[in-house]
Amino acid sequence: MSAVNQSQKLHVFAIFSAIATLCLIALGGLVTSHQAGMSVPDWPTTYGYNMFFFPVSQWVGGIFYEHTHRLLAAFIGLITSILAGWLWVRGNTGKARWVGLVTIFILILALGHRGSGHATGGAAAIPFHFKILAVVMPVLLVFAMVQSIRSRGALHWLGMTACFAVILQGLLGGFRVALYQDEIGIFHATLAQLFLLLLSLIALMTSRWWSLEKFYAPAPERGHLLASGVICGLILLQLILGASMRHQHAGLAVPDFPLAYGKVWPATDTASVVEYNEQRVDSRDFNAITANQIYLHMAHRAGAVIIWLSVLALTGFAARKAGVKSHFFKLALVWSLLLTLQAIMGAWTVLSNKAADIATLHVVLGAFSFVFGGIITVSGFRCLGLFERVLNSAVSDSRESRTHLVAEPTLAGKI
Amino acid sequence: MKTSHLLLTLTAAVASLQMATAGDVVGKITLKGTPKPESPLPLDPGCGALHKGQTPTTTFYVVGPNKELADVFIYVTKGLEGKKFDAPATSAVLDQVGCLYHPYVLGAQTGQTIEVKTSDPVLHNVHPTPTVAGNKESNKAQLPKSPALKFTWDNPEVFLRFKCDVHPWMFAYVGLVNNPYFSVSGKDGSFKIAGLPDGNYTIEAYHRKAGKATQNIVVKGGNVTANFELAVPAN
Repeated sequence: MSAVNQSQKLHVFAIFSAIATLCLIALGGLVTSHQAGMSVPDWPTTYGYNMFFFPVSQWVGGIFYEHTHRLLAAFIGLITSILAGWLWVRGNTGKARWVGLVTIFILILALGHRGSGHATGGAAAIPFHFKILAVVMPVLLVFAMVQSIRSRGALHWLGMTACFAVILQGLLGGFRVALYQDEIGIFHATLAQLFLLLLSLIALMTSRWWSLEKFYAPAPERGHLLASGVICGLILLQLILGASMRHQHAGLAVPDFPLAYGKVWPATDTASVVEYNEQRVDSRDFNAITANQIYLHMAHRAGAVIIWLSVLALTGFAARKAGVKSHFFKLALVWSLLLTLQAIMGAWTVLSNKAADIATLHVVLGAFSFVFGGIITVSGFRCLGLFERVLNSAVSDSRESRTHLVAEPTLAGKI
Repeated sequence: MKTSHLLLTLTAAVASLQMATAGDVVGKITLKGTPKPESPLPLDPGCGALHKGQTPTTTFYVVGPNKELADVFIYVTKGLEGKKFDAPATSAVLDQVGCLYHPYVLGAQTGQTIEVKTSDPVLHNVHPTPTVAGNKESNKAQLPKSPALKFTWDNPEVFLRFKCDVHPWMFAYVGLVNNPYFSVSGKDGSFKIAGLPDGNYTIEAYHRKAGKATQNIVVKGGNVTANFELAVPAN
């Protein structure tokens, strides 16, 4: 099999991993939207069974969402391990290659478990070796991240980072259930978004476009790319705010839109909050809301406005500087449309009284918008870097205007 | 013979004296205002089959024809300071029937066993979610026909919530206090706190949605009547 075919297969596998992860985020969103996170009291077993042998006839109610989420998560863990091993083999030889592969293999084995016969939560029910992993995995993850930075984004280290991240993600999910800690759910949700971004970047960097060092022209302005990166950061903060709201299981802290309890800024004194809770009559009987949760909700609304206006401004600047026919403008325009849709979904989530499917779509679209922005930013910086390299090498030759330089689609190897 | 008569008379006198040092607190709870209509529960097919086509609704407000309000927890908040009461040997019982908790509101004493039974042919998880520090959360599976699960807590909490995450509409609330003087109003709005010793007390009527009301009472050798009117919160 030629090296090109191998690369294409790797790229397709990376894309498949990213898409599967987005599906997992959707399923996780459904778990939270349906308040099903604790419907399976034990972990890593499922009602005392090894999770792969839990009878399908019992996949009922909230168990359906939580159990399928765990199964898909296990699958994502497996394919991420395969991706990491594949990238590691490509990027290493000799002893280093075997050390990495053995590490991945040992971790997969360490995650195995058998049925316990008990279906109870609590720290005592967690197998001892999982508690060891909970300490080891953050250390390994930080190590891999540092190596990724030091190697300037070497794919084999990015793959290993993804492998350690997905294992940690599984542990976070399990510990959240076993220890009754809603707050862990916030970290679980945030890491999910970052993990999706990482897989998407691996997919980008295993593409033919990337390996052939193609770039689009005109290259985006450095300032625009920095702005794009900042907007991605704001989206991540917005995702964290959203996760904080969702994982307190208090439902909608503000039930109306565009006003908040009938006002531009809601009353948050103690008597008002007591009244808000007394007025809530939902069959899901959420946790009582607090003034802080109202502030979180309003911050999330404000964040949405800031992000939306920022990306619209970026699109406008891109149109003016690079022109409406430029690739960067088109990408920014798509991003604007995505975030407009996301804002509409946010409003719809409130107006639908947090209907599970609408709220979950809002989560998924938020994740996709985050990844899309990350891809634009990273690919944009790559284009700019390549473009500047070409420009510098062409300085000694004949001079042409920057806007007339065109990427050669048949170019192979380094420019 | 005369001695035995004297002894009998003395015993009766002492007994009647003791009875005269406590009284029952009785009353009725009514609701002012009209609550929002209850909404049908989003049952899954397994639970829906247990109700034979009649979908149950939420039970935030159970109001009688004359505005009687059920599921109000009435308990003593002041007047028992410094007194300790042993937890009863009998359990307070919650049952799961038709994927619903019965009763919806239950009273219990700290240290008393709360038994959660299941009469359902479907799987549940029993997940109490206390919020008071020192009261531990837990989450246990309960398969059909399995033995009752037992819980105890040592710290007062009104209301301590039980939920089932498999069936996200299932909730029950326990008024947990450190003395035996409490009651839950019935469908006719009536309640009775039995055998409250003579003294000055504050009692509170607490409904999850209609809020709280308090009254100061004096128990002195007889029953006391304390009626409460709670109101639907203004929108």
